[in-house]
Amino acid sequence: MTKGFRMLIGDPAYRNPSPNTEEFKSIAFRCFTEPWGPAPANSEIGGSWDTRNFPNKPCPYGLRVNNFFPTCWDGVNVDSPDHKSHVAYPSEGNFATQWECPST
Amino acid sequence: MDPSLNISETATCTTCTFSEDFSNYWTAVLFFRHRNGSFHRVPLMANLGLEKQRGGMTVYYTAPYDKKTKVTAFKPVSLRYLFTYFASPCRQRPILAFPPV
Repeated sequence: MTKGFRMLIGDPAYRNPSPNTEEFKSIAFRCFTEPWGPAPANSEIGGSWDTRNFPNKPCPYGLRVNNFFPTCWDGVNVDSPDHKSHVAYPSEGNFATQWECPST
Repeated sequence: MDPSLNISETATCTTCTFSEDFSNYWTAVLFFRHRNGSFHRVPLMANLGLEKQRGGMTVYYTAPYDKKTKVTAFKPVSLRYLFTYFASPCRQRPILAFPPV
């Protein structure tokens, strides 16, 4: 790949999480209401323990923000005018489960 | 930030856990706004098991598990990614991150 690869995720105006949007796939919040310890079953990052909007309750043991970057690339462009169009998320699943890229 | 400036190549030190890694990762800082209008910086916490460092962030570069997806490595000195979040009408915080050299 040539030099100068750039990508951007996120949208400062993003307010309403709706599944299958790029913004939905890019961020997840974890509100810790208990002390940290070994991760319970089914609590993986980006899973059902996360919310896609900023927590609206106290998180006395911390707030974690997970940002996910697209894992698919168009194979040609190291950047695009919106810094997003040259990359893509897998059409389904999350970064840990699904790697198949859309045919763009 | 001038795109021709390549901090990854000119840096002589790092705060990364791996001293071989001269990456520059800048992380967002959250501020809480009190009712009287004053801002309080919310402290950053290190990840579990990394309590020696003061805040910062954990970055994962994951590889495909499916044994078939092809991976192209980005050229180390050139990747830049930027993300913004927690925007409010009065404040927006851009983050610039550079990859390992």
